[in-house]
Amino acid sequence: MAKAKQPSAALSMLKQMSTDRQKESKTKTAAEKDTEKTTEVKAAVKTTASEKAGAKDAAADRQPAAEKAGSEKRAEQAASNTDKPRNETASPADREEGTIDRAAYEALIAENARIQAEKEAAEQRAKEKDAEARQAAQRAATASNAGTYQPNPVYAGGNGTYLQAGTGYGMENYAYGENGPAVVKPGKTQFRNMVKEKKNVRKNFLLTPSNSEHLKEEAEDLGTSMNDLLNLILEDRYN
Amino acid sequence: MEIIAIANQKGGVGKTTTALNIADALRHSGYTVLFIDVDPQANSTSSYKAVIENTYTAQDLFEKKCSADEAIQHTEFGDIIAGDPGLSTIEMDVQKKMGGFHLLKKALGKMKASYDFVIVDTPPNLGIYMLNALIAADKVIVPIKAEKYAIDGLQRLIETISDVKEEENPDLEIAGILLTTYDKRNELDRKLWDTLPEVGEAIGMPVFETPIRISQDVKKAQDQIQSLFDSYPNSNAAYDYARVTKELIEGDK
Ligand SMILES: Nc1ncnc2c1ncn2[C@@H]1O[C@H](COP(=O)(O)OP(=O)(O)O)[C@@H](O)[C@H]1O
Ligand SMILES: [Mg+2]
Repeated sequence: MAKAKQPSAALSMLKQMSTDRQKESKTKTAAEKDTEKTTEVKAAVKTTASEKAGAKDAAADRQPAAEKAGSEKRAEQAASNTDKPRNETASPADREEGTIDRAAYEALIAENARIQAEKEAAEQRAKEKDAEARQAAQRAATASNAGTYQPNPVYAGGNGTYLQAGTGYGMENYAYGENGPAVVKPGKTQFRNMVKEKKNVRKNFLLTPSNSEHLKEEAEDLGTSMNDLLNLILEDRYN
Repeated sequence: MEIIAIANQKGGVGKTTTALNIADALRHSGYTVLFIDVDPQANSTSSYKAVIENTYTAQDLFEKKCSADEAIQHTEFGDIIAGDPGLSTIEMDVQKKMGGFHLLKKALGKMKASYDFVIVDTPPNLGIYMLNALIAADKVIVPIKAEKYAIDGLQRLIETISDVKEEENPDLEIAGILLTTYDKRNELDRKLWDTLPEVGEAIGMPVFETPIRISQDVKKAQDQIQSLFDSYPNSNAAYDYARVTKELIEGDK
């Protein structure tokens, strides 16, 4: 087939990465080496906009349509990327010679720090807001489900045996659900019904900034296990 | 040197395929790579045409019979510390040993050879070898396959990872969940791919923006003991692995 004769998009992408990398290490100044982690500087020195556009075009040709799923999130990411400061003052000529205006560089670092601080403050605010909302939701749930608590069979057998012949490695951490606050919780079946009836139970849960700690808490609040909760989320999607 | 573990206690989800192809893609991008196979099934080791007899393997490394440098084999596909069926035999002993969880980290810490990346392929269980990999790693990639209970068990993996982070390796970073053998003609695949960002958010794991598409060329390359990038560079899977590798590298910047 003709396909075999086409140059491989995969290989050219990898080659491009290799070239980018060589360029990058050539243009690296001592100052940059000091602050290896300053992402924007690297990005600014490394990839020109046209290279990026080219890569994107190639990608668009080949990407499966379903990749568009979650593109919202990606668009968000892209948007937030463009919010980040660029090393505007490093002209293409500067880049080629591998020098960067020291003052502009310092300013960029300062700007980075400022943006970072702002981001952290915003995250903190969001966290607080979220905690409030969650407490309110929990109060509401507790009120509407008073007296319906059924012990959850999931906890009965403990938390399983990770590393069967174990050395006790971390096992303590798996004993969750035992000593939480004595609030009245909906049982598992009930949660299942809640999920079926009021999808916002799930949505509320998903909209919060989350991590596994958070999922664990949610599962405890709802009187179910993390695994069940995840499966319910999926089931809900599949049904 | 960045150490990347490929982990999921489920078998057949594409760990080995992912480990092999990311290692290969990194090499094609000009990085130096050491592959470490800590799976007793030693599938990666076969793909590298590395030897197990009369040479130091991961088993000897875990038994402290050799250094990491001594266990490295230089093959036509790249450098590898070979997996070994004998790893199963010594599993209990390693587990009981003081510091048994840190053997890989220690060995790599003392290694004189230097690589840009170390890719560790792990066995399909939450045992001592996977823990060694997670404790040694800077990053972990979690391949999953679209099947009914794909997400089942991820919870335990997350707990394990959280635990490792808390107790042993606070800097361990989850590079992401990677959907493998993606077939967009299959409804379950599409649903899982659509759901994945949400699930990822719920469980605190990022998701790679590129799924690895199913491709017969992957199997062909493995059967013929060939590198996918060398033999089938135009396959969808090669393209997807190149993109994932790009995501991985750009995530560092
Ligand atoms: N993208 C793909 N397209 C087709 N087959 C694949 C793909 N990825 C993996 N496979 C096949 O799936 C099977 C399991 O993959 P493997 O990487 O060995 O999983 P694991 O290491 O998790 O057990 C293998 O037979 C492999 O060839
Ligand atoms: Mg494998």
